[in-house]
Amino acid sequence: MENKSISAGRPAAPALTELDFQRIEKKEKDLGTVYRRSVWKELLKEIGGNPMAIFACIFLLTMIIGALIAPFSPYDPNAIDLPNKFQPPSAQHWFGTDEFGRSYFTRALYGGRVSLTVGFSAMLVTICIGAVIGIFSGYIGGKLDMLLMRFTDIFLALPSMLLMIVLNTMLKPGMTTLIMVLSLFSWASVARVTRAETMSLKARDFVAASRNLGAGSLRVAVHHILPNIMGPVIVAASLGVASAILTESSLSFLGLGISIPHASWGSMLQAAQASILDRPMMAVYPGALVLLTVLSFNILGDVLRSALEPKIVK
Amino acid sequence: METPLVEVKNLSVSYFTYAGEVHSVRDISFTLSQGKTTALVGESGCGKTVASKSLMGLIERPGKIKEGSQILYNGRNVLEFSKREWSAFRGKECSMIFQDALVSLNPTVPVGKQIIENLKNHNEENLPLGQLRRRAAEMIDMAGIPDAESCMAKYPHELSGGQRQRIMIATAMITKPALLIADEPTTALDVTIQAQILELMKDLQKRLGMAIVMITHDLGVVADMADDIIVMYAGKIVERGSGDDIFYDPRHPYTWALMNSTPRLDWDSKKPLAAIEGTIPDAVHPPAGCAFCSRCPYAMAVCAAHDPPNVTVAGGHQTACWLTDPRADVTGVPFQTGGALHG
Amino acid sequence: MANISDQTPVLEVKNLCKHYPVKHKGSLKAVDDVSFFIQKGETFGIVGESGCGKTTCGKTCMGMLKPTAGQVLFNGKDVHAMSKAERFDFTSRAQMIFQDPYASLDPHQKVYDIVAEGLRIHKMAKGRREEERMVLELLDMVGLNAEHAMRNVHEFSGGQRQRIGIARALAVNPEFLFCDEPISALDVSIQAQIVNLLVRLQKDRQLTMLFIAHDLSMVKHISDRIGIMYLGKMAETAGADELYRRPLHPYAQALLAAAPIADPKASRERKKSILAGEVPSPLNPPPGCRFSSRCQHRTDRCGQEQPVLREAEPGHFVACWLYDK
Repeated sequence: MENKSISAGRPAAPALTELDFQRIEKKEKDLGTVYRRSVWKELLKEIGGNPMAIFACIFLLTMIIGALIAPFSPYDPNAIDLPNKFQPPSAQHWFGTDEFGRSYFTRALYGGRVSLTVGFSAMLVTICIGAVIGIFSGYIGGKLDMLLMRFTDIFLALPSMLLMIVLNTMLKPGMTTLIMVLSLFSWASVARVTRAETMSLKARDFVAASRNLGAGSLRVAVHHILPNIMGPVIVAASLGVASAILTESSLSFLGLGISIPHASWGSMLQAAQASILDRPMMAVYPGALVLLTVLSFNILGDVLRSALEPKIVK
Repeated sequence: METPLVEVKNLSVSYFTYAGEVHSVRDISFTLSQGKTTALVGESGCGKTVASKSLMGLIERPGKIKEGSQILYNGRNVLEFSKREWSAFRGKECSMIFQDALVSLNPTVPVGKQIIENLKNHNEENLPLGQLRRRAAEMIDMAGIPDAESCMAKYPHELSGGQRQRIMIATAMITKPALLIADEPTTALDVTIQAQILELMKDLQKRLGMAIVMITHDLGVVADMADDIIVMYAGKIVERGSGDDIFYDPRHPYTWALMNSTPRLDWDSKKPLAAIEGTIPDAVHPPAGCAFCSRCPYAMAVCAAHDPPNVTVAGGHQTACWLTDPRADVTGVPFQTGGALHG
Repeated sequence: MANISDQTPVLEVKNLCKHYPVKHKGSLKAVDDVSFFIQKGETFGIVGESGCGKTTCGKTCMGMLKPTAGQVLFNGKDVHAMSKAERFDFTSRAQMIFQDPYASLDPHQKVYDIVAEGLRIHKMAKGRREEERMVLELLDMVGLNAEHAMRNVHEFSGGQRQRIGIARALAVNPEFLFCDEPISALDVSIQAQIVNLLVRLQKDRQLTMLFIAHDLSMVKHISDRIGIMYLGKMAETAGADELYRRPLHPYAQALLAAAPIADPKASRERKKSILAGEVPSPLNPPPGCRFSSRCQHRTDRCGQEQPVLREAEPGHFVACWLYDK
C-alpha cells in the first residue's frame, strides 16, 4: 500500500520509518491554547494604529510638560512692560507680547496651567460625585433610585451656563470656586452613565453567582461592580476634562473665571477681542490651544472607548 | 455515475483579522449529489458555515477565497461569476435558510410580500403580480401553514417561532432552487417543533427534488436527514461517506468520538461518555500535521509532523487519518482502521 | 428508592407557584403548582421546552426568586423563611452552575479570585497558604492546573470557563448543586467533558443535584429521576429508565418520539408520530390540562379540569386524566 501514488497537488509522501508510527505520549493536561490579552497592549495598539491618537497624545504631553515648566520661563507673566507692548514674535518672545508688554508665550503656558488644573480637578470631583450617586442609585434601586434620579434629572434640566455665571458672580472668584461650580453642573450625566451600567451589571450572572455564595452588597459593589464600570467611567472622565476646559475658557472669556491679572486661555481671548482686527494672532494663539486641547481629549476618549470595549476572544 | 450538482475542489478560505490570518477552511474537496441531503457536521469554528457560504458567494471582507479554489455548479465555476451572474444564481439556483428566522426576515414587511419579493427578483417569464401572489400562497400552503392568505398579511413578529421557520423555508423554496443550504435550521427550536420542520424539509425535498446541505452539530438530526455526511474538524474534512458509513463504520478517531460523546436515549447503561479532551486548535496557527493530533488518544509521531493522506475505505467513504497506514499502532483503537490510498 | 423515602429529602418543593404580573393581561404563570423532592445523593432532572418554567423553578429553589405561593424546603427548612444567619449557611450548602459560561464569570477577575471568593466569604481557609492550597486543589479537581490560576477569565474558552464555574461552586463544599443547562452553550465534544466531570464529582462528593436541560437524552444520561414540565406544570415524574421505557403522559410520549436519535437505522425504523401545533402562550394557557390543545387523547374533561400529579405506578407520577381510575 505504501508505494501507491499520491494524487497530484499534494506534497509527495514523506519517507516514513517505523519510528514515525510510534504512539506519542501526551503532555500531562493539554487544555488547548489559552489566549492572552492585555488592556495596556490593546491600548497601545489602538493608539499606534491611529495617527490622530498619536498626535493627541503627543500634544497633551507637550501641554502638560509646558504647564509644569512654566515657572522656568525668564519672564514674569504678570509684570507690565509697556515700552515693549505688541511686539511681533521673536526669539525672546515666541508669541510676541501683549498690550501690556507681557510675554504672550509665557502667559499661554500659565494659562495652560490654569486650564489643565481646572479641567482635571473638575473632572475628578465630577466623577467622584457622579459615580457614587450612580452606583448607589443603580445598585440599591427602588425608591432611593427614583429619588436620586429625579434629583439628577433636575440638575440635567438646569440652564447650567446661566447658573454658573450667577454663582460665579456671587462667590469669591478663584480656581477653587471655578472647580466647584463646574463639578456641580456636570456630575449628573456621569451619574446617569454609571447608574445604567450598574443596573445592567447587577442583572448579570456573575453577580448572581456572588450573591449565591453569600456575598453582601458591599462586597458585590466593590469586587464586581466597581471594576466593571471603570471602562465607561474612564471614557466619561476624558470627555469630562475636555468639557471642563471649554467651560472654564467660556467663563474666563466672560470675565468670571480667573481674576486679572492672572492668565487663562479664556481671559487671553477676551483681551484679544479688543484688537482682533489689527492683531488676529493674539486671539489665534489661545484659541488654537483651547481647540487642540479639547480635541485631543475627545480623541483620547474615543480611543479609550474602543480599547476598553470587551472583545471576546473565543 | 451521474454528474454531481456541485463539485468543490481545493477550497480554502481565510479571514484576515487583527489577530492574524484565520484559516477557516483549508483545502477541502467534496461533491454534492442532485436531490440528496448532505450533512456538514462539526463543532463551531470548524469551517462548516464558511464552506457553505462560499457556495453562495457570501464570503465578504475580511474573508477571502484563496487562489486555486474551485466550486463547480453544474460544471460552471461560480467563483468566476460576475456580480450579475451571482444575483441571478443566488436565490434562484441556490437558496439558504438560517438558524434564526426572526433575524433573517425583515421585521417591517409582511411575510407574503417578502416571499413575493424573492420571486419577483427572478421573474424571467414576466408573470403578472396576481400570479406571483398565487404561487406564494401555494408555497406557504406547501410549507404547512394553514390559511395561507391571511398569513401573508402578517408581520414576522406576529408568527410563532416554528411558523417563522416555515416562512423562511417557503421564501427560500419559492424559486424552486436545485440546492438549499440550511445552516442549523432547527437549533433554536424546541424538539417537537424541530421534528415538524425536519419533516417539512424532507417532504419538500420529495416534491421539489432539491439537494440539501444541512449544517448542524446535532447527530440526531443528521441521522434523521442525511444521505451523505461530511465531518469537518479545524477547517479540514476528516471523513466523509454515506450516513451508514459514518454512523456504523467510522474510520477517524474524531468521528468515532463524536458518535460516542453524546448520550443516546436508547442507551441503557450509564457508561461515561467518550469525551474529547482539550480544545479546538487555534485557527490562526493551525498545527503542522493532523489538526486533531493534540486531542487524539492514538496520535503517533507522524501525525504531529505530516498531514494525513486522504484514504478511500470503500466507494465514497474517505478518511484522512494516519491510523489507516498498515504500519500504524492500532492497539486499543475501538474502531476499524485501514483502507486504500486515494489515487 | 422506596427504602429511603422515609428520610427527609434534601430538597422538597411543595405546590410552588411563581406568577409574574403583566400589565393589562393578568399574570404569567411561569411555574404553577409544582411539587417534587430530591433525596440525598440523587440527581433529579427537569426537561421541558423553552418557556416551560424549568429555570424559574430552579432559581426559586435557590432562593434567587421569591415564590408567589408554595414552599421550598431545604433539609426541612423553608428557604424563603430563613433568618439571615440561616440564609448565609444555606449559601454554603446549595450552589449553582450557570448556563452561560461567558456571563457567569466576572470578566475583570483572575481565575484564582473567582474560585477563592466562596472560601473568603465563608472564611473557610485559615490564612493565605491554606487558601492557595484549596484553590489549587479545586482547580485540579476540575481539570485545570496551577498555571491557569493567575490568568484572566477572558483568556479561556467556553468549556474551560464552565470548569472554573464548577470549581467556584464546589469551593464552599455544598451538598446540593443546581445545574441550569450547564452544557447547552458548549460544543458537542466539550459537552461530554463537562458531563463526565459533573457525574464524577457527583459520585465523589455525594452531591444531590437538580439538573435542568432541554435535551432529553442528556438529562436521561445524568439523572436518576426525571420530571417533565409543560407550560409551568409538572406533567410526569419517574425514574430515568422507567420514563424512557414507559412514558405515560401524552406529552412525554411525544417528546420521546420527537427527540432525534443518532442512529440512522433506528431513526428510519422508529414510527414517526409528530406532535402537531406549538406551545401556547403562557399568558393565555388552555383551560383545564395545559396540554389539552395539542393532545391526541383529549376528552371533554381535559378541557375543563386540571389534572393533578398522582402516583400511577410505584414511584411513577403523572398528571393526566387518562390514568385517573
